[in-house]
Amino acid sequence: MENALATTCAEGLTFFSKTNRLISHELKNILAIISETLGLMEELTALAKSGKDLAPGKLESLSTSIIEEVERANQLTRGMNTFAHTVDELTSEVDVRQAVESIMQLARLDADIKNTGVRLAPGDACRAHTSAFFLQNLIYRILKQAPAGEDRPAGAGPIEIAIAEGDDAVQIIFSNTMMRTASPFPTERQAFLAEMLSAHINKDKSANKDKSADVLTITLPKKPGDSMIDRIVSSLADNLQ
Amino acid sequence: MKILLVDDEKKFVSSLAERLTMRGIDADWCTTCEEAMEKSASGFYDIAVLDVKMPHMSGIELKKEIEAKSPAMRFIFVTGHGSEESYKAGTREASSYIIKPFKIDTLIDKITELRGN
Repeated sequence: MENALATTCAEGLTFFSKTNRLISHELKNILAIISETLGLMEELTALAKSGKDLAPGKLESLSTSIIEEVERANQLTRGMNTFAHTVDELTSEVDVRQAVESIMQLARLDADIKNTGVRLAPGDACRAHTSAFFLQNLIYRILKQAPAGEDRPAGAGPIEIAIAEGDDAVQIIFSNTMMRTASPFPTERQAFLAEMLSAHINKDKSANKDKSADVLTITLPKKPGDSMIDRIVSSLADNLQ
Repeated sequence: MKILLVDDEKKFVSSLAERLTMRGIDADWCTTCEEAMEKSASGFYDIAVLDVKMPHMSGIELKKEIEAKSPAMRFIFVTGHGSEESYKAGTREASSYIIKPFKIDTLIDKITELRGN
């Protein structure tokens, strides 16, 4: 249990650190846009005051741009806040669709994933008793493992995610990942996260002409019996007392 | 003096180019590494200002590609990395960089510095 606890803490901190870096990088981009746009507005206003003609609608277009960036920052911080709350209770009744949407929003801040693209098929909410935080960690690790940039076949399109609800389990299905058949899957960390969630993950072994196995599936039990995460939560609670 | 600005944030790079132009600096811009390679192959630029993190290719890789064809060109990196220290630690290409957001005078000072060299 001590090993599992240490790995859990390390994994959790690594994931939190990664998401924080992605968010702060994005916020700096937004601040840079606002700063440049305001600088330009200030300079155009000064020129107008000195008698130079200003193109009609120019200031309006620049102020609209600032409003859009403020909204972008607002969405980002809202997503960040939702994500931060996933550790309030390490296990709870989780809306799996919402958890997937939330991590997709954060994952798109990663240049590779943004470039590859990720799409979630429409569907209804479905719930499972699990850890949203570690489930999102597992999803992020899978998205990050998919080939990106020059490693991704031209015209491959985005990764598609679908959620299917069964009687006892929820399946999160990743298709069009373009994962090489030779790629190790699950990796050691992915396997650990799956074990923690009492989930099964598998890769469709049938290779297509690009020698890639396209479909990866997480099968998440709706009510795990005695999951590792519950034991870890109990152990943490004991240690904190 | 002709400058090429490359950043996948279109609003940022277009505003910056407009502000440099207002100061008498001939500034061209684009939002992808592919466009940057085409522009630098077909036209002459003295300095390229590159975002470090872009889809498809990093600014550091882009620098190597452009430098191979235009060895006289000089480079300034722009980054949204959290801190100066982490950026310095993370790259050997840190001789001329600016952390976002920045004041335009900081960029002009860097341009002047490179031109002086």
